[in-house]
Amino acid sequence: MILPDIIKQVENSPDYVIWTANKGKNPICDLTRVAGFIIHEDYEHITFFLPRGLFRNLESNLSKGSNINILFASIKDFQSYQIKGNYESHCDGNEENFNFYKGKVRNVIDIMTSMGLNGQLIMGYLLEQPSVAVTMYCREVYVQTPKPGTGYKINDENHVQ
Amino acid sequence: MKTMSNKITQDMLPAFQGVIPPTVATASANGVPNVTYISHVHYIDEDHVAISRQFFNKTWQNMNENPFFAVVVMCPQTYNLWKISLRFLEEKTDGPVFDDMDIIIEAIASMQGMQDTFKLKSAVICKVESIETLVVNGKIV
Repeated sequence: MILPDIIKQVENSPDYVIWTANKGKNPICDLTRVAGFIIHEDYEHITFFLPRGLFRNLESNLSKGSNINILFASIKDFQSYQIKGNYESHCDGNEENFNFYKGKVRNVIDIMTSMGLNGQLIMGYLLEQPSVAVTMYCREVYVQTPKPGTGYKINDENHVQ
Repeated sequence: MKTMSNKITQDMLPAFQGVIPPTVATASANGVPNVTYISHVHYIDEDHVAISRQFFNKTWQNMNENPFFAVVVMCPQTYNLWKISLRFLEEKTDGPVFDDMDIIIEAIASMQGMQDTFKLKSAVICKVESIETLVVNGKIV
């Protein structure tokens, strides 16, 4: 699918925390935090970045085309979106990747700190190196904001189904 | 080296006070994951917790298709992070666990100004299958 505008806005927003979940042969999903993501020029793929120490939780579940999801949630107003998709590839993160998401993670740390929390302790580990870059194909986008009726799908034309 | 256990320990208890919303990941019978935030994971005893069911539909459908799922909780004091693997046992719409959770959900809703929309439908009782420590003292384990 072509990612809707709202996900492009999330990419540029400073206040989202990100999670990913996937599943292999084990009946239980794996679930971990993500440091940042970038939308590809085709608007159908994203690459997300996370420390290798967290990637280890996902790695054994990954195979070409396997199911993988990513969740974005605003720490300011709880707006949340989930992308369901398929794993395509992963590689070691590089310095360019790190420089891209470092500023975004620092922004979230600063926002948390301004809210009276210890932002560094909550999010600082996302800057641990080395990192991994995971690329996925985006199949569906859902609204996950906590409110009655949530969980609906956003289609390619940005209309809800 | 990750620490694994299958009992909730004393140092984890603050993570069940409803301060930081937990994240839950379920999977359908055909293996499609679903990840979302929930309001509260309630401590029952070292082997059991209850998940607050308010809005989630796909999560609930998945739990009924595949009772095994994961939740990540964070301690609001140390910010340590744990991934708890759970097995769905039963749903409660009354009784002491439901009543305790209802009070906590009302408190959470009040703090967030969402008293009219944050209503507890049920307490989803779960068995703790295993616990994995993800982050301690701000460092990945």
